[in-house]
Amino acid sequence: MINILYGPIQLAIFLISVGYIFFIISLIFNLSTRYIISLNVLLLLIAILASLNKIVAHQTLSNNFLFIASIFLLVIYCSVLLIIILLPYQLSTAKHVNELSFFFLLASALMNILLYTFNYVYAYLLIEAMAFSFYLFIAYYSKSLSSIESGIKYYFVGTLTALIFLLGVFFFYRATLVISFDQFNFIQITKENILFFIIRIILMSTALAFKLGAAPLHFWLPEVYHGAPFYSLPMVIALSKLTIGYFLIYLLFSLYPDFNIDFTYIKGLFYFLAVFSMILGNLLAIKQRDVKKILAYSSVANVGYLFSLLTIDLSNQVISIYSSYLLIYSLSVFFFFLVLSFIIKDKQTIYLSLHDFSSNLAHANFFIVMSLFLIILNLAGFPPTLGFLLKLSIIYQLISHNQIVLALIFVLTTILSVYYYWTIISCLIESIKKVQIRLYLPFSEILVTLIVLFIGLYFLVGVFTPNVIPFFK
Amino acid sequence: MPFISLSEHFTTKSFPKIFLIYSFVSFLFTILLGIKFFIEGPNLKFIYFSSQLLNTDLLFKVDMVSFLFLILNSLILFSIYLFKLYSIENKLLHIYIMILFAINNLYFISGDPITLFLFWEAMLVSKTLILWNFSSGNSKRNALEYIIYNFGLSVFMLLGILILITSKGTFANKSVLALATFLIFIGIMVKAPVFPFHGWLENTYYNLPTFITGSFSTVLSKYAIYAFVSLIKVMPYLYDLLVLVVLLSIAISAFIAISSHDFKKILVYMSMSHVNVMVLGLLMIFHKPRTELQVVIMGAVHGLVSYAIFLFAQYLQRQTNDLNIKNYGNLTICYPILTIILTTSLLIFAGFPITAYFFSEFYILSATLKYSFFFGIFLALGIALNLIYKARVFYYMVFKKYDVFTSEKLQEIPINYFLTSLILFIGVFLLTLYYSDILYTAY
Repeated sequence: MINILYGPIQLAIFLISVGYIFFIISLIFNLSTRYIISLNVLLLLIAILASLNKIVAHQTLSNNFLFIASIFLLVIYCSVLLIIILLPYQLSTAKHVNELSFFFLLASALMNILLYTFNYVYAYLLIEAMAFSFYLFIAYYSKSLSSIESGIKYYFVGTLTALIFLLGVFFFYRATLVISFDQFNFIQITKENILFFIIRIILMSTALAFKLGAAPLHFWLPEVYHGAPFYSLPMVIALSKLTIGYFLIYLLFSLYPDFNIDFTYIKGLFYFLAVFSMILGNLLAIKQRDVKKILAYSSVANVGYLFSLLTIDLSNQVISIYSSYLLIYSLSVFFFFLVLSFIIKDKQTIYLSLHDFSSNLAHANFFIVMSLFLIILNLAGFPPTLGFLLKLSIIYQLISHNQIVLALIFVLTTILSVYYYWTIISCLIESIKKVQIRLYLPFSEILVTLIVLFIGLYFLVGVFTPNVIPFFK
Repeated sequence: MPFISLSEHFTTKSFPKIFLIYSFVSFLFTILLGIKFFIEGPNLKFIYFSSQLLNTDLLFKVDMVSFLFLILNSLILFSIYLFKLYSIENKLLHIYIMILFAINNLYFISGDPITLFLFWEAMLVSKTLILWNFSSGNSKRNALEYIIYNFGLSVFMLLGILILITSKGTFANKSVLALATFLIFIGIMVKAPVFPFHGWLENTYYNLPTFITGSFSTVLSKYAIYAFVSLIKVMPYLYDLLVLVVLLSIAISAFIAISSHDFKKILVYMSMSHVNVMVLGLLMIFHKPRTELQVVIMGAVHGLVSYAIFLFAQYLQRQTNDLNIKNYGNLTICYPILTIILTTSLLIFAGFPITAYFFSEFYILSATLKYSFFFGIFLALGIALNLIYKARVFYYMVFKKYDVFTSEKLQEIPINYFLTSLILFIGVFLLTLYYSDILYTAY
């Protein structure tokens, strides 16, 4: 059985099947929340051990991608473990913990397969299947109209994206007669098929950019995040971006061995998306007064920063920086929303204005607020945090590849972003003034405090030892 | 429960003790670092990350400049807690001060441009927190103003640093390096501050509790000097214009100080004016050798004396809550020790010719005169303007006699204030000795 777990896809299938059996058993025997969570935690611990094993196995390989994928896998499983443990504290009732934990497990297992897949049709199916869990998460509060509205919007956008992606797969099949990354031979592509090939790359990249929320394909994103319940946001914003962002760069990198194809079209597409995302994301975030919307537009801007790296040749260095930025951004957003969903008093809250955010923080403990402060500093790319070093690395790469205009837009929009991050930071500073240093806390709060303190320190110390990101050399 | 018992002992009263130990360890560590530095030679380096992605090594290093500023920083922190100069009631303020001084220490030993920039910006975070929570008046506005000025304009510095790193090893194009230096200088101009980027100064410094302003004026103004010494190796673009702006800045800050009767405001602008003289001295590096060391020593002396004089202002404010110099007088007769502290500080700042401050200022003046007669005269005028408000303070507070004056509310200065000032002046004396030793070796 242990041998089965060595394969990444087998691990995911094992998780889904055993998780499903546990789900059915818990329904039949009407198990209490504690048992359900323990069973899921047990499963995820096995998954974490297996992914640790993969990290060790892939560390010495020359293929950087497998190593990055195994790190991402570990992060995904650990994050889902945290979500499931804290799920009873994030929901208004513990009624649906069973169903939701299964769907979280399912989504993480599907992400696992997506990280290792070579097949485009599989990728299409996996992205759709992942989105299926997300519709449920987003539309969980069935009495809230905005929650349902967001769920439906996400469904339509997801379908549209999937269609574009599938169209890309058709063109790929038309050009190469295969549907896998690793099976086709570039020499077989005839001149008349090159056009189809390029259209396919553009379609697939557009679909993934749509999914990541790059401007001008971002219109759905703030609306969906705005209506989504807080407990779903760490998964929907952070972990999905981590997986899809990784899949995008893997897809692009798989094209690079061939030099017959003119990459200027693809680079042009990403240049356009990057510039639009950086400018629009930051400009639109400034006027927002809702925490979710600010973070939603900031995610648009961050996708822009990521895409700016795709406008230059994909060397190992660029892949390292891209993956590191993706990881650190996802971790920041993940922990921000995880902690936020834990500390807000009214768990059914959908809208969270800055004022409400501030009043909710007043009940949190000092260390949580300080850690949130560090997380936001990291998101804003303020020294001395890891976010700053990664942003600096991106700017450095852009300047070294003569993308001066893009570097300038990057820098200017980053200054702009300080304003809206400042609005969140100002709430945090106000709360720091009010909160008491309490040392006697309930267990769940101690757990959250320790974890978030660790993450805050990770961002802070990471700037002096960037080796804490294993693939950042 | 262990948690409960811990929280009971973790009261406001225990904070000063904890931080006294912390500041003592910090001071001891600096001294040990200094001993190691003197034994092992001038270049102690520690590479903490070698980055292929950024094409640079991130490292800490200790040299003479670092050591002087480290001692200054640790001494100020240690004196705050050792002599119990202030009763800090808020726990948060203790924490912020600790973070700030720790960042200062790390800044002064940063050995490469990126590490330097990291701490340059990191300081903003703790300082903004202090401003937001402890500044009087519109604290949010002050904090926002400070961060917008400093963060916004530091981006130019970052761009300059990036150009420096990118062109590492390829120094073919000197004009690009001059441009990078110019961009870095803009960052320095904000921190010093140099006109026209001094808009944040008054709201920030004036509204803070005086002892915090004192420590800021002592240590944080040295950020600009350290950045200049570490980063600027080539003559910046538009050099003459920059020199002129710095000269203007000296004169403008002196004018503002002259027009004010508020003791704290005078001190704030006096500090700005003096730091500008130092920045000018640094700009003269390209024409006269060893100006760098003169300015660093001047900076250290400025730090010590500036802290002493702010201490004096703190004492006045605490006793009488009145900082208008016109309301005081007759200090010579009533309170001789208080007068000695004030007079000594003012005399050192005025350039009384027995301290290192005078020699350094004279050196900078001669370097400027050597470069350009016009600029030299301009600087001499600036220094003369600086003498006017010092004379006014001296006249109003020490000599002038009133029938009824606020000085009556004063008492003779307490022993802890006196001891702190004494230590600071001994520091100035030692620096002067060190300076004369350098002069002796040089000639």
